[in-house]
Amino acid sequence: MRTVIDAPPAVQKRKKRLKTDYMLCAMLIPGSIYLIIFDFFPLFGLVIGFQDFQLAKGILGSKWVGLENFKYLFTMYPNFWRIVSNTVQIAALKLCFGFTAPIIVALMLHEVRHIRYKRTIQTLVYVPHFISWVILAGILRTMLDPSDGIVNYILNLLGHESVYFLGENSTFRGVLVVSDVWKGFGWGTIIYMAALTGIDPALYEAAIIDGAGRFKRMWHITLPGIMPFIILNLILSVPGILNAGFDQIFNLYNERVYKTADVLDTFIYRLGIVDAQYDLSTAIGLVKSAISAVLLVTSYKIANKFYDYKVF
Amino acid sequence: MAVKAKKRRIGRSFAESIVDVIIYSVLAILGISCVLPFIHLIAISLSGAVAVGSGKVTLWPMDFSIDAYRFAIEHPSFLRAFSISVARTVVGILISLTMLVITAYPLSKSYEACPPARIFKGMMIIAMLISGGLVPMYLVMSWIRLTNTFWALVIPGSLSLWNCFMVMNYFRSIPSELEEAAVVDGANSFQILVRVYLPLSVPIIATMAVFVGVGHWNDWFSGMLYIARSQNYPLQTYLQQVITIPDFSKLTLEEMKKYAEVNNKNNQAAQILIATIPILLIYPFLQRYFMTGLTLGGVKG
Repeated sequence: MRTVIDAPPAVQKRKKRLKTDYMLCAMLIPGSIYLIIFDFFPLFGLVIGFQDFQLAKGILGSKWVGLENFKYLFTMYPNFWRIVSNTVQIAALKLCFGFTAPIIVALMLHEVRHIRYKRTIQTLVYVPHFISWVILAGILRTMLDPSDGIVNYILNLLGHESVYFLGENSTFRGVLVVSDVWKGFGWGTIIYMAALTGIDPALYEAAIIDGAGRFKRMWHITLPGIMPFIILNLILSVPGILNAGFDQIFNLYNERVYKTADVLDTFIYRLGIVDAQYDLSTAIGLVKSAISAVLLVTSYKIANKFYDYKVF
Repeated sequence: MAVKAKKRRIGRSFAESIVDVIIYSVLAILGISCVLPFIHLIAISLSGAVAVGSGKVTLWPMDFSIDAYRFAIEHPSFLRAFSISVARTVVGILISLTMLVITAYPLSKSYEACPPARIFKGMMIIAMLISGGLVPMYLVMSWIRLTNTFWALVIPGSLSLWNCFMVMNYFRSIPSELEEAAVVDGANSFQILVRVYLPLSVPIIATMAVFVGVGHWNDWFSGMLYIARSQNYPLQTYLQQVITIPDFSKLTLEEMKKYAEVNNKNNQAAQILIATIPILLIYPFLQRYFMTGLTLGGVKG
């Protein structure tokens, strides 16, 4: 860390003699072209949201309609508010469970004294993180199949009727939350495991001498040790409240469960790409992006103020 | 340490041993739960079609058969999708690494040496905060004629801004004395980057290669969005079509037959597993580099 702090002044001193390094500047050209084409052109494309956009007429030829698209979506479009509420509910459920599970697992892993055992468990729980939702959806569909899936086979053995997990509104969200937590809990422990290794062992020794039991040690030493990371993580996950997980839902859902599972991102995709309602789709995308940006800035400011969190 | 060990041995009551047993077994269950679905899938892929249809295959194959794997490796569209995925992963890694290094290097220097870096960082922040979204992005892609080409799979996303910051922070951690020595020897910035910085940045570059490679291998959405003809799909997009149930009313009889064959549970399982193998093969590296990647050049506190 020392070198990080030391480096810039030394560089500056030398550069003052050399003045502007044009070769260095030239290296930013490919990146600039990339940003302009793939980030800024689409930003200009957002004006479609304020037009009655027709592909044949293009952006310049299409008629401007002001806020009509937004008005239509917010007041007239069937099911729009249901989709918004689905998004927030699914994201909130995932956040609740997906946020606490890694903390509990990390605390448990911390209690394991056999290094080999700990390593093995860690190796196993990271696996799902690297597998795409397409593949996991394939596996889930196979396992949850109402006629020949393993889960229903077991349910039948236990004397329960088969359940069409992916086709019923009552069970679909459960599948989403459980499979999302399953995919991410192992990976989520990493940040806490790193924090846990930073706790001074002397604290534990002192606590043992003072007669503190296992839970007291966990409560008074381990948990406070990772608390800043827990809160920081929580602050930084709030902006994701409008992301319910497109990859997962898109690969698992079907028309039968739109009522509980259709979310903003799947809706934006269907509206824009399948139904070719470019203007409406862009309008929702714009609202979503704007809300996310505000949340992102706010949470970053909070994290920066209280935890000195910096990206740059 | 000795005190701790001794105390623990003496102080471990019966209740604490019970807690240990519970913790160890819960962790074991969680660990196994992460691989059990894959074992189940292996069992299905190696079972006979009838046994799979009966729904009784659990963790061990019934009526052992490798027909599903034979089907996969003899199936032209599967092979084609597989090779497209390999190609996009290799090309994607090369393009991404070049873009990352060449952009992160000037950003790691002072603004005096590279004044445009200030503007560029501002652009990056805007791009990280707000995006045009799906439709504008698609329209831009078709406007610059990238849709329906291989490049649609590798060029968008090749400069991940987050990764760029990580590489930038790593470059900043390299002592500037080394660079000064090279300047004395008459090297220009590009030579310094290639001869001094890159050899010292192997850990972060390997990490980025792994990040980007896994991303490319697992990406299915750009294939679905930008590629119209299904024979040009990368593997994950191909699989996405295989696992989702199409609208049967729109299919011809011929297509239905073909669908039934490709989507037969065993064949599906074998294809999914073959797509997973590359990830599992590099898993040891993955674990190592992902872990170091999170600490290296990461967020400064």
